[in-house]
This record gives sequence, structure tokens and C-alpha cells, in this order.
Amino acid sequence: MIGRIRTFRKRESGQGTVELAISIVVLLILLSGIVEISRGILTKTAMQDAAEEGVIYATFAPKSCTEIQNRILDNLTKVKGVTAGSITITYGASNKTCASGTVVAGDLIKIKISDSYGVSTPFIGGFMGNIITVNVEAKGVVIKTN
Amino acid sequence: MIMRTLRAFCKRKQKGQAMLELALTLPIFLTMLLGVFEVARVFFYNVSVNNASREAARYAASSGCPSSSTCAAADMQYFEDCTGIKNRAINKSVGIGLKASEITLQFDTGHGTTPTTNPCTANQTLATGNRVIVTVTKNFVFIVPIPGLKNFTISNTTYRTYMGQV
Repeated sequence: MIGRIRTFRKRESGQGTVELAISIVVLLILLSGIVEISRGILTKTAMQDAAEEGVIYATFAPKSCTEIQNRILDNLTKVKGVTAGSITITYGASNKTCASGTVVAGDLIKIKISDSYGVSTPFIGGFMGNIITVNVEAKGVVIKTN
Repeated sequence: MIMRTLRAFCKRKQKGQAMLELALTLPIFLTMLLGVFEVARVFFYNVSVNNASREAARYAASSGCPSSSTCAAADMQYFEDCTGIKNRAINKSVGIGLKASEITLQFDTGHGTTPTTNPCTANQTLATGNRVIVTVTKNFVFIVPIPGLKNFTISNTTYRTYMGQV
């Protein structure tokens, strides 16, 4: 019996393959992670810029809710999954919503955009979740109302 | 007899094994390396094109004049300064060889309105709330042509609201 184990220990022909099999899983997970994080950062930058564009328009036309949303969405044509529903526009300390509530000059504008999308690389969902959510917020001050 | 010779051959002649393995794996390895390069370049081009259009739109939408501090009506405004806008985009995207002809400048008055081409002359009118639209389109060329994959264009459009006098 011991002799058989000894022979088993001596044979090292498949070692490389086994090591490759174990390490390639780890390497692929790392690679997928890098791809997903990069995609997340790209998405976040585009969304942040779009939110700032919305704030610029809202500083002098805070009551044109649909136009603010459309101006944001025009800049997000390449980001999948963002709709008018993912944009929240609020004014002032009491968080008055855009559609209802009086907006006065000097109110703080807060535009939040939230986007959820599925991961692009297969199997990685088991480690970091299948859905990635990116949230951005931009702030400004109402200069005049329309 | 034959079996014995074969066994002896297999045991002794293992000198070239590593060389042969290298010869087999090197093309695969180099192809993968090239793939990594190309994918990275696509990402780089994408980020550069996005940044270029964003930065150019930001420059175009700023109020004031590039060359005068008094900013009289006759002075050229930032949105009229097409050379300045395009240079801003080119300077922001070092490494992809962006040309002025690959940048398009337009104006519109809001979402859904038809954009007009920026004539790039002084004394244009742009009201507060109008938008400047900068489109940067760059053709992506593979370092080594891959059969079945065509060169493609990477493009990004940025809309920026112009705020003059509020």
C-alpha cells in the first residue's frame, strides 16, 4: 500500500495541467473584475457629465422637468438602461420635486441618476452579483425661475 | 525489438521537447497578446473620443470671449471660435491623432429640434438655453489586420447648454 502511494507521489506528469486548471479560474475572475470595474467607471463618468448638463439647464429653467430630463438623456445615448424614470430632480432643503412644489431662486438643485445593468462577462455574477448599480449626483443653485 | 527501440527513443530524445512546446504555444500566446493590445486600444480610443467631445463642448458653451476682456458684441464668442473648440478637442485626445475634420460642431434650441451647422463666423446669435453639439468621430484601425474584423468608427456626441445672460 505504502509502496503504491510512493509511486503515485513520484509521477508528476499532470502537475502542470492541474496547476493551470486551478490558476486559470482565478486569473479569469481577476480579468472579468477588471473589465467590469472599467465599464462601471466609464458609465459613471458619462452619467456624472450628463447630470451636470441637467443642472446647468435647471439653473435658469427649473420648472421644465421634461426638458431637463431630455437634455440629460441626450448625453446618455451610449449608456444602456437609463430612462426618464431613473432621473430624480429635487429642489431646496425640503426636497421639493420638480413636477410639484414651488421653486424659488436660490434653491439647491439636486439631480440624481441611477442606472442598473447586467454584468457583461459570464459566470462573474456569482462573485459580484448579476446586476451592477451606478449612482451619481450633481448639485447646483437656481439662478432664476421660468 | 521494435517496442524496445521505441521506448529507448522516447526516453532519451527529450532535448527538443521544450523547444517544440514553445514553437506550438508561441503563436497562440502572441495572438492573445495582440488581442489584449487591440482591446486596450479600443478602450483608449473610446475614452479619448469621449473626453475630446466633452471638453470641446465645455469650451464652446462657456460665456465670454477667448481674445478680449471687454467682450463687446463685435468680439468673437467662445461658441463662434471653431478653431479654438477643435484645438481643445485635439489637445485633450493625445495619442489617437485626432484631426479637425473629424470634429463636427452644431447648435440646436432644445431636445428634438433640428440642429444647424455652426458656420464658424463672428456675429452669430445663440440664446441662453440653446445647446452646442460636438460630435467627434474617429476611425479605429487595427495594428495587425484580423481576418473577419473590419475597421470601425468610434463616435461620441456631447450636448451642452449655453448660458449667456441670465
